[in-house]
Amino acid sequence: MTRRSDLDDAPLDGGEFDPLAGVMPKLDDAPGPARRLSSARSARMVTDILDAALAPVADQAPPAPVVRPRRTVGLLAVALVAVAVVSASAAVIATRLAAPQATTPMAPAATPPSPAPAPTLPVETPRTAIDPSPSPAPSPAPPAPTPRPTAPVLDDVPAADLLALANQQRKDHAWSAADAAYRQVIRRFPGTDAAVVALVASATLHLEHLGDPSGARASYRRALAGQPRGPLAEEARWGLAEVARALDDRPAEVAALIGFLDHHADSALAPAARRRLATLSPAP
Amino acid sequence: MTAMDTRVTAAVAGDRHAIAALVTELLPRIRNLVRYLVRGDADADDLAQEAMVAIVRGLPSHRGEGTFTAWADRVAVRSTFAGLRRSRRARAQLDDGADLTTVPHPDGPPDEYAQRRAAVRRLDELPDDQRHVLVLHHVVGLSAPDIAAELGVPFETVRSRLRLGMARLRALHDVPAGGRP
Repeated sequence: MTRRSDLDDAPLDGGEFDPLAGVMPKLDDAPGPARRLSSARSARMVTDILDAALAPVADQAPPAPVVRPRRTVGLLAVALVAVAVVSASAAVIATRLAAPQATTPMAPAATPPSPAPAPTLPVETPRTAIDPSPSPAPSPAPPAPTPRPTAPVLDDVPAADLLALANQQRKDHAWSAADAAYRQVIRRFPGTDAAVVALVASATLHLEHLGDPSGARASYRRALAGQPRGPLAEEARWGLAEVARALDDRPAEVAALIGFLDHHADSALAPAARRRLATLSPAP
Repeated sequence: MTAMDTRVTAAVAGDRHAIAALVTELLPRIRNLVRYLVRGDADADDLAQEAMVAIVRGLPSHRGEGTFTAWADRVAVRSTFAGLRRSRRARAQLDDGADLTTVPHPDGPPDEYAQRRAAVRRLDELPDDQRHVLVLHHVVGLSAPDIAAELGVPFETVRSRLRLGMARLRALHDVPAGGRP
């Protein structure tokens, strides 16, 4: 490929003085003109790209899929399952979600049957949309007109489909519902890559949309505990720094930034971490 | 061998961590490139994401000729043009969503960011054919023959589009972005 330097002797625009040279600079590391992204959103985008690009099934997908998702969240769905499988699974999930809602009155937001110390969640969205009838919840006088099984109806849905569902809900700005789906992944598939993805995604929701930085911190910590050197460790450590910043906890933010730089000195976020650290603890 | 070279070598070999690091490092650049190429912010991130996926999937085809970023730029340009052709919505992408130009950014000089945002808004007022030639020449740094090959148009067409685009951009340069020349 011939680069622009080859044209220096014969500028395409006629050799005039170019007053716009600084207005349209060559690509570099400076920000702009793309919109700014929060580091958490950027991390999520990286995750989506990796999942979409590296999914073996997607690589072998037929050439004419029915659906070609355009949104960020859609790409993750493509990555996780073949397009046809996504479509089929989505239909199954939709059916399952619709059926109990039609026959079962909405239970008052039951506590999710998560074994982990779940962070406090906003209750404006009924979690039953995802987990309609958690069996451990002591329900006073359930109507139960028919002997339907009361186990969570999504218990046999694979992690990939749950993540796809959560991503769709995130796309629809149904933050609480998306978080509930992520938590299902965390609860049902502990120790897996999917659980770590869900932990980081859930933490980001809590930090950016659910007003719960403390809950975000718990999830970031769990993600790190599960895979301290995993592909999302960088995002989790950076998330801890952002959580501390959100909580205006300077000592914790300093500690998080130092921890981040200790582990990810070559990160693209490292310069920002150093600058922030210098701001928080200026040299004497 | 630079850190980038090492990472690229590992990524081409399929090392997931290296690929993740490469994606993290390239993403801001590719987002900026795509935003230069497409009108408005609405679809820029989707197209940037598709471009990044194309880059990662194309890693095995990278032969180490030229710089890796130049190769990645080229893949991103092709992916973006393919996306634009597919959607045929390039002219409907104007997006007046909230911008954060007034909020200081920890990662860079706010003045430079604001300047680039203003520049790309002026680009948004150009016809796509002129815009693409300008970006490929000034931002990506491609030669006229390469641009002609990339776009599938004659060399003289490239020169003409560039000349017209520059003239239009200069006219716009004297007024605030979004204002009237």
